[in-house]
Formats: sequence, C-alpha cells, structure tokens
Amino acid sequence: MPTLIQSVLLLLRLPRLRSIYVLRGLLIWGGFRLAGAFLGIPNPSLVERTFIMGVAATVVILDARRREEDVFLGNLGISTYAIAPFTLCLPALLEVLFL
Amino acid sequence: MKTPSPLLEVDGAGKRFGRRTILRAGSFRAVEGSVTALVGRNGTGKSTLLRIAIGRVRPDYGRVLFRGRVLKRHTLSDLAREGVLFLAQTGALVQALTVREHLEAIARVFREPQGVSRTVGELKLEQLLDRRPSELSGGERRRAILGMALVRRPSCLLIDEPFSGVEPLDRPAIARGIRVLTSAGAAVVISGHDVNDIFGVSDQIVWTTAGTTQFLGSPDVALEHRQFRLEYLGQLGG
Repeated sequence: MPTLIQSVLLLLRLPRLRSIYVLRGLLIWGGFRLAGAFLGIPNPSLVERTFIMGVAATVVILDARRREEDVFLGNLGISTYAIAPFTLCLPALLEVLFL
Repeated sequence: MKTPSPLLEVDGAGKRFGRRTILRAGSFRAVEGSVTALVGRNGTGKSTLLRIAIGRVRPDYGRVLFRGRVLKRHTLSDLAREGVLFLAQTGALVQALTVREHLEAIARVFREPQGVSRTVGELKLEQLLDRRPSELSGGERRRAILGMALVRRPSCLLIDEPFSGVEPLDRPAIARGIRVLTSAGAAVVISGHDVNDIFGVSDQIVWTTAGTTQFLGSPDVALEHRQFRLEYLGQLGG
C-alpha cells in the first residue's frame, strides 16, 4: 500500500501524463453509462454506478498495459494501479453531482 | 584479483510458456561501470531474461538479486526507485506524449533539472523534442528512449536490443550514450544479435543458446570461443 500511495503522489507531479488517464477514464465511464442508458438502465442504482466505475478503471489499467505504457510508468517508479484514482476522479464527481 | 560484486543478478532462471521452454538455466550479472551483452539467436531467451530481471516475467525457478538481496515478487516500479531503468524494444514510450514530455517527466520525478538540456546535447535530440513516438524512425525512437536513461543516470540500465531497427547513421550516437552511462558508473546490460554493434560497446559477452547462458568473457575472448564461432557466427578458422 505505501508503494501505491507513493505512486499516486508521483503521478500527481506529472500533469500531462495524469490528464491522459483522467480523460480515458471519463471517456470509458461515459461510454458505459451511455451503453447502460441504451440498454434501459438510464438511472442505475448506487451499487450499479460503483460497479460501472470499477469496470471503467479496470479497463483503463488493462488498456495502459496493452499499450505497454506500464513500462514507462514503471521506469518512473509508478505502479500501474496508481492510474485508478485518476480515472475515477471525474466519473465519481459527476455521479455525486447528478445522483 | 577480486571480482566486483554484481549490482543486479539473475541466477539459474527457468521459464516455460505453455509447452515451450524458453529458458532452462539463464544467468547474467550486471556489474557497475561495465556493459554486459546477452547475445544469441532470436527466441533463445534474451528478452525473457531481461524481463525476469525487472519482474515483468515471473521465472518458474531461479533467483533475482539486487545488491546481493534476493528479490521476491518485485516490479519495475520497485526497482526504478532503487535506480534501475529498463528500456524495452517497443513500448517504452507513451504515444500521447512528445519526446520532450517523456524526458521532462523523468527529470521531474528524479529531480534532475539539468537532465533534459544535457541529454538533448549529448544525443542530438533537438529535432525530435516535439515529435510523438509514432512520428519517429526506428533509430530516432531508440535515441529518444536512450535519452530517458541519460536524464535519469540510473545505477543499472537494461536495454532490450538497442541497435535493432536502427539506421547506421544513428548507431554511433546510441553507442556513445551507453558509454557515457558506464563511464558514470552504471551497470548496463544489453541484448541483441548484431555482433559488430554489440561487441563494440560491451565488456562481457553472455551467449544465450538452447535455453541456457554461457559466460564467454570479453568480446575478444568470445570471438575466439570455438563453439560460439561455429554455432553463432557460423564460421571457423581465419
């Protein structure tokens, strides 16, 4: 856990890199929410919203690994899991605002 | 004469992928101030050995040691904080970032404020700074990747195939960059199969063959190794 916190703090110092994962998180979460609306779940429950955010964060992490960005992150001393809080910050804010 | 203790060491590592055995007993040592080259045909486990060293591949057996300490379930990010840098053949760069942004990220995290300007001069990266990885040729990409190492000044650097896909014009710059790092005391490990380039920058040669590794010694000694010459270089005599 201390390693993860260290990684998050390091990523906080890199605005350009951080913004990439914030944007990807927002796009993927938005895509899931839109897909949910088309499938007849326009207003998911709190549990469903949390689940969607978790899946979106997982997809962003897996996508970063697919792109082999974890090598660059690793060289910076940043664990790939440190991406998760950044991918979730805007979706979580929007969910709270429009709950 | 006392042998210098290795900074990073892979000892007797074995790895199977499905039914295919890639490594049976692979070992190498990264020694401060010198370049160790893993030389061998494609598919003999060079990249796997490097990936085992940095924790991207878990060996089925064998050990990885850093400063004499056995590592367990380590990751690249753990090692990076200890001064290790891994430059992959592909994927060491983020497509959305320019070369300048990569170098500045390294400089910011590792507090090397002069690192970027120093590196740009050393590797002649001026023309590449505002380009993204997809806009670089093979050689330019390798120079940009090596630039990260020159900014970081790692204590241990692992480079997978530094000369692969690199135009002849770019090769001296890469060799020069590697020498700058070793002269600063870094332990460097490179992999590859191009004897001319690899032997030109290396101090020790490790031959990967049939899932095992053989320490051959200096490039001059390696070139005299009968089995290496016969099986790898495809020549005898002369």
